[in-house]
Amino acid sequence: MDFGFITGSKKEHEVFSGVLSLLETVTGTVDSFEKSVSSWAQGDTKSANEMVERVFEGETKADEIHRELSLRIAEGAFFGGVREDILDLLEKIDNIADSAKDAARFISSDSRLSTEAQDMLGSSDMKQFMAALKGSVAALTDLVRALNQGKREALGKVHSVEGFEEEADTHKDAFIKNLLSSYGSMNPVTVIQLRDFAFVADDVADNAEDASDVILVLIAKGYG
Amino acid sequence: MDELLIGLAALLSFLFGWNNSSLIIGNLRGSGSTPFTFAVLVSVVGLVAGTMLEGPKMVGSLVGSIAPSTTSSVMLAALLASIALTLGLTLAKLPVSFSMIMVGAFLGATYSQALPLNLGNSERVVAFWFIAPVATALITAVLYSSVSGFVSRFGILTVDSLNRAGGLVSGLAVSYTLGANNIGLFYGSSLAGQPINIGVMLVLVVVAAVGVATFGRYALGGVIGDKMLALSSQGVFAAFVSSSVVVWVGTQFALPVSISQCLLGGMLGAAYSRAISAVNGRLVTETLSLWVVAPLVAAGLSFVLVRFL
Repeated sequence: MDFGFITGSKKEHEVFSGVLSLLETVTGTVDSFEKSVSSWAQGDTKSANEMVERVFEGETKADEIHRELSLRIAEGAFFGGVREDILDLLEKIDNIADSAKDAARFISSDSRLSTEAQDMLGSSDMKQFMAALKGSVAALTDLVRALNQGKREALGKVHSVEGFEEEADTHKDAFIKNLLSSYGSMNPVTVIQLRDFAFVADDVADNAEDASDVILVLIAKGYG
Repeated sequence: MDELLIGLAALLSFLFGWNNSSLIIGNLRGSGSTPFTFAVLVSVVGLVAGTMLEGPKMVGSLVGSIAPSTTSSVMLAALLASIALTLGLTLAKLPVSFSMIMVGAFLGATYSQALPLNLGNSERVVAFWFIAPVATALITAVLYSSVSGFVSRFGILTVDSLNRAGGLVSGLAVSYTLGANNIGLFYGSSLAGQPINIGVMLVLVVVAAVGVATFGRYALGGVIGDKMLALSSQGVFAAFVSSSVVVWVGTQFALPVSISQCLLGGMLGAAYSRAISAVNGRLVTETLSLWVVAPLVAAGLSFVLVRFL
């Protein structure tokens, strides 16, 4: 429940709306990242590069929103006891976009990733891995919304992000296992690039989980 | 002699404001979003209201209650001993129980002059010192559970606003009850047995407010609260309000009582009701020891002092 007439302070509402806006931007960034991988797997490098550009733009916009919100909080929004935790939450959410950008670099035109990687990037393990990454960000958004409904609602959703993060780990491990088993048929540089790509992309879900841990602290501190 | 006693009572009020500034404005300032001037303003409103509305109830808590009558030299010795001890403890950044020290000092000087003492009332006062923190702990445990249950239904934005409102309410409650119980006591130590002089009461309140405003930024902030244990905003609110209730009850019966004692009880009550284990046992022990030692030292000091006055 959120009683707008009780809350009174416009500043806190604006910051909270800003957090949701940041999450929306980060969700868009991760979506673009997933599409870039999917396009690349289908051999459509033009679309892939366009999606990579969107990832970079989304990450820049996320940085701007993060900066603006941090300033507002530093100026005195929210009760002092939770201010640092909200700043930490913003940092972790922004890190999701950063991870998507870092991973997107592997398939950008500058990375010179070989076309033999197409099959691996189009594999079912990779598709499920990408779905789990998107799921972790969607679950985080749900969790932040639930935070403004009540303690019980928030606590009910706090572990859903972790669930997606574990799923991402499982699919990442399966992908790498397949990758290494095809070592003899692929250029070793491509194998290393794909392995590093998987590890960096996995940071999307890891950062989403870190953000959900901060929300747990917010619940503990804010609700006594 | 009256002017001297009033002057000393004013000095004690100043020290009281200084030493208790963290209690009076600490919770509001702890929110991090309340300007210092606003916090001081809230404390002044509370102190003035408490002193003017219920301070007169405490005027007879020493002379008239603990002892049927007194002399100027006894009051002078009691005030001097109280000032010396409270100044020393304030400079040492330790929480001071003004009411306990004053009662100890008054008892010591009265006994030294072989003046009659009302032992029954004295015992009542001392007994309340033990009952008060226990009662506060129990009230806090109940209030804390209720408040936590209440806020859990709301989103974080509403909880944030409730925490701020709670800081304001608890700040007002603490300053009101301290104004009534302590400043009323200081007034009684200077002009006991005479008609209430509103002007003098106002002077004492203003001087106390100056003490809060002057040293509030740097004073004992945190000894009671965050150095002893970590509590949420709701826990601190429950402890502060419960302490204020118990001190208020003491005021109704003209019993001088220490809010820092009550707060300790309240915070421990809140901590143990939620199975919080991060309690600084050493600091708790030191604080408790001080509460036993300080009134005894005050009694000894005034016992000796009065013989030279």
